[in-house]
Amino acid sequence: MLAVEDLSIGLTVHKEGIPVVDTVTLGVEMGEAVGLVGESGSGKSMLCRALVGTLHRHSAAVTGGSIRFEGEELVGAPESVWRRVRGRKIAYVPQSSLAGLNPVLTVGKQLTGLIRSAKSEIAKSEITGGGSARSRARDLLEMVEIPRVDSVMNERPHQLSGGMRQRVVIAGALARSPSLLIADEPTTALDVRVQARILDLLRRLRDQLGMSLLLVSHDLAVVQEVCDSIVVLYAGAVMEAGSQEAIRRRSRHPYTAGLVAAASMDIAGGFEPIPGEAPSVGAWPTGCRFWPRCSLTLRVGEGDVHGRCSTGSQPLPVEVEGRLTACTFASAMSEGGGNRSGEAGAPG
Amino acid sequence: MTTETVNAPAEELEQRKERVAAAVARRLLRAVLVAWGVSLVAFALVRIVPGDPVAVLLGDLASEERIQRLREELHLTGSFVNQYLGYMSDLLKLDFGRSIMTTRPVLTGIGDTLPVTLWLTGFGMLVAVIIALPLGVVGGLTRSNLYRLSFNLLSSALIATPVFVSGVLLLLPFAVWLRWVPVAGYEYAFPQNIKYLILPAVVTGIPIGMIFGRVLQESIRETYTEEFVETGLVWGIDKTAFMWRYLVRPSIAPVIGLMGYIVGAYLAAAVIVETVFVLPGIGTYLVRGVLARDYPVVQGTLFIFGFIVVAVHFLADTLAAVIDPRARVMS
Repeated sequence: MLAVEDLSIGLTVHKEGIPVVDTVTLGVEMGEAVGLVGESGSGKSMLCRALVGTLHRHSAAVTGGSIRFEGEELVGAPESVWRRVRGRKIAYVPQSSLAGLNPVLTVGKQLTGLIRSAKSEIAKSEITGGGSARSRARDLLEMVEIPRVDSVMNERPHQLSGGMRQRVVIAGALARSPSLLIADEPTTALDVRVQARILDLLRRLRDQLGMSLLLVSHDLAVVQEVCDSIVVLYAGAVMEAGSQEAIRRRSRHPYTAGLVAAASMDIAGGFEPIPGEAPSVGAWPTGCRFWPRCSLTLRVGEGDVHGRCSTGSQPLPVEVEGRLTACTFASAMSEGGGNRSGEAGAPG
Repeated sequence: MTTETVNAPAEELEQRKERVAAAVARRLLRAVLVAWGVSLVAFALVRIVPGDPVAVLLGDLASEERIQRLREELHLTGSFVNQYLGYMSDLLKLDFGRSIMTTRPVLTGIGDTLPVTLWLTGFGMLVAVIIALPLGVVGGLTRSNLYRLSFNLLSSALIATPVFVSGVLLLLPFAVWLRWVPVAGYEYAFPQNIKYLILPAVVTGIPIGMIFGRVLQESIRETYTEEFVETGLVWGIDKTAFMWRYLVRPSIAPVIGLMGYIVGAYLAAAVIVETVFVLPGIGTYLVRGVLARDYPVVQGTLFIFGFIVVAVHFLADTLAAVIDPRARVMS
């Protein structure tokens, strides 16, 4: 349904166009839930914005590759095409949606305004189900499990708690029955208790409405809970992509393995964070972007006389054991091994 | 159903109420202080300015004895402090005294002239808003650099043009050559007074409209970067509704806040505009009072100016906060 191929995005602030997303390929099938995992600065939000055509608001632009939705090419599509796609086909819940609601309008007015503006495009009955815009807005709020719907309709966002605001943003995203919902860090700004509820809600909505979900998070545990398959992004490039099961059981990339270890820290007890920090945009290392922090490189590095990790460009993911991995030494990682616990095999 | 809170916790609400109450109390205190400060400055200034009301009134040939008698009649004897205390105690009783020149109560004089100035202010503000809305909205939404550049240049030029220059420049074609409007004068009845007010309102409204327009333009551009604009965009709200409700509406509060300041500046401008167009407003009243060293008139007028500025400022801030909750963080 959604096919992103070799997508690259660059910042347009400088003429050189500093890359933030580099040759990323991913796909979302009908009804599938895909998780996109990456640290801040890995380019995941930029990737989302490319999917709804709002990169220009963030001084960025697609510099290569393609985005196809139901066969239609969206890269370079005019604003009129985007207006048809946004909300109706691809809905997006932006990051930090605590500030995601119009501060000067009541919740009811924001939703009815959205529902009414859809009227001109599709048959009236299709959106409102024959009822008024107001009753449809009420239905949407009930769908996202907002209590006391009638009073919330008449309140402005600053009167609502963070979890409620997040629910309203989701309700608005659902208003036109999109076939794909992108949720960018939907739980980050919320406290843990509310986080779990929002995740439950997303999971339930996906089943109930039969839509696809692209869930973006820095937290692998969050994504694992909801998604069928997972794409791991690091410094603008895909490190590993595959089924949730395969990645959790047997990661074939040292970075993912580190994330898995971090995500399962409750079970394993005492986890070691991946050493170092993610490189900032514009300061990506040559070779594999992860190598300066990679324990596998450090370990095989002694024998890595050819410098296969640290030179050249970021390797593109290739299929290894039923998933895609960008690690040249994927086969060096043993069964069930992380980059720390596993034995190193003979590289190359 | 969830136990998740719908509203911000009750504690937070309570705190917010307290904050608002404290802010209002601060405002009121400030209003009283400003009005008092203005009255003090007014009192001191008219006395520091060289010249003597009695000499102006009686002329050079009056006898010393007559001057002394009038001085006592007008309570102009005694020390500065004594005079001030007398003035303040009258003021607390809302007694502004009588004009030295005309012996009419100052409050009556203000009551006669203030409505003219309020008409002018209201009319001028209307002109300003009519100019500012389209210019600011287009400037905020357009990506055309040419528009922005020309708007900035034009507005700078118009803001920098003194009112007495633009007033005279407009009088010549519209009042003298075309005779569309009278050159000067006033009629104290609603529809008739408009033809006397049009030119002065346009002359003062244009530079203020340019200022509003620029503030609105900047405000819209700032709003454009906000997160909720992205939400509106990806929700797929139709273009007109999106521009109006997501870009313009949330950008208006700063302009309304600014109006509070501008009304104060407008009173200062009224002094000049009313002189140029010979309007019997409070500005003219003040100028005559100053020229005649008519102490009670000057003091009373400036006190009213101070009061109006503080009151309008308060109203504008309150209105801005009602329209936009983000403006509620009161200083």
